[in-house]
Amino acid sequence: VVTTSPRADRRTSAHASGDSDAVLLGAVARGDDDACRSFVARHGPAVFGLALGMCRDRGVAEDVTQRAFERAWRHAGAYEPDRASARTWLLTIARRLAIDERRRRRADPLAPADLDAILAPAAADTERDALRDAEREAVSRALAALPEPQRRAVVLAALGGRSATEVAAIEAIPLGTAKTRIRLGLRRLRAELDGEVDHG
Amino acid sequence: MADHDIDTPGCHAARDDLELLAIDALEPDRAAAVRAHVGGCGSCAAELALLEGVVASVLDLARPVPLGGELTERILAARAPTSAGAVAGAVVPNRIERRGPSIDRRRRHRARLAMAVVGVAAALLIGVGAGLLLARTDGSDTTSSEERAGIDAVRTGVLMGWGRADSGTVMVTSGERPTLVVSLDEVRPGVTYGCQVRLADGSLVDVGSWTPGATGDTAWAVPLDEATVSAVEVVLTGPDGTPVASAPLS
Repeated sequence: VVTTSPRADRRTSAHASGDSDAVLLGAVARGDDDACRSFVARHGPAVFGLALGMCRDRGVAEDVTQRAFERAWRHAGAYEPDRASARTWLLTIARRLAIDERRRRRADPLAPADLDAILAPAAADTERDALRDAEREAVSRALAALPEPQRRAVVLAALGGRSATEVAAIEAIPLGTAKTRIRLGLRRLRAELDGEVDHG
Repeated sequence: MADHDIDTPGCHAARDDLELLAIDALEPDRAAAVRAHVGGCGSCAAELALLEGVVASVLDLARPVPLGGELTERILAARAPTSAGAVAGAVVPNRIERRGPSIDRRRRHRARLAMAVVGVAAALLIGVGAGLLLARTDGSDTTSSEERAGIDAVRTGVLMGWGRADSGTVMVTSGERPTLVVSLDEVRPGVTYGCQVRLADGSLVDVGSWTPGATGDTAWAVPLDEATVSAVEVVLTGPDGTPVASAPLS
């Protein structure tokens, strides 16, 4: 994955463009200041956006984002590019931290505006990347192909960090129904991404 | 899940919850039970990994939000103390480095506890009960009278990982110096483990991280505080933060 940053200031010039995430993380593990700054510029908005959507509190989301990157600094040397992209790895870390933070704080139920924000399609990233855009488009299409109740349940759980119990409360459905929607939605999403669903 | 081969009796109970576990939507007690099964079942572990990949693919759909200069600088400032440790493969600074009167004393304390837990782990593996575990710990020549005086209760658990490298035992002591000791059957030198404890309300709290050195240290001690000493479960995570093993405490 080769990305190009619109930012080309002096501090990021050494790593802002052309370097893959794996190369960047290798440099991060060696303590390269420019690589760290480029890594934050490249993935920070996605991590912060995910954390903000899940926590709905800017201060908490900032803490989650900071802790996610702290883990990235700490584990950069052990990152395995064959297992997942650096962005996916970082977003997964951030999601787990945000979920733990939400459950520790016993966050309030979602307001309708917050629910709409989570369920709305993502805006274009500040940093363009053709391959990532294509992958995101494929996931977006697969998600859109789900029946609406399943799509809502999967998005609330995946991007909203809501448990099945919380999904049941938000959607005013029995817990068993919420679990079934999540289960079937994830199965269908997997099949869609694997190209196993015939829309003919 | 439809193509998942059922390998063990536990698969029947776990199979319908793998999607919910992958997306972190299960109740904590059920999640711990399913994860314990997954820890010993290769096919369920592989299935869970695939499902977690599907969940991860959705995350990039979240709306990006600019960080702002202040947050960016905070993030960059936070890397200084940890990146050097990661490069060196050393124990990453955590709470163990912030407490106590001196580094040398803390290191001695950690070494003694690490040696003590080897005995505890051995006792666990041959099925000795908790009472005997206490006696074994207190009676060990490797623990000084000063250290013994600080321990008034011990709870233990067995880590059920995906492989021997992530399996072992844990021990939580309470008293003057509440401590969590993790002892693995084998370690993967250079791989950084994270450690979390689950509290009674289901929340997870980070308590530290550990990078076993080239010498293959298999035991690690982490001081706990009042909030975490009452933990009900210990969760070991891999380099990407994904849980690789967990141990309910009893």
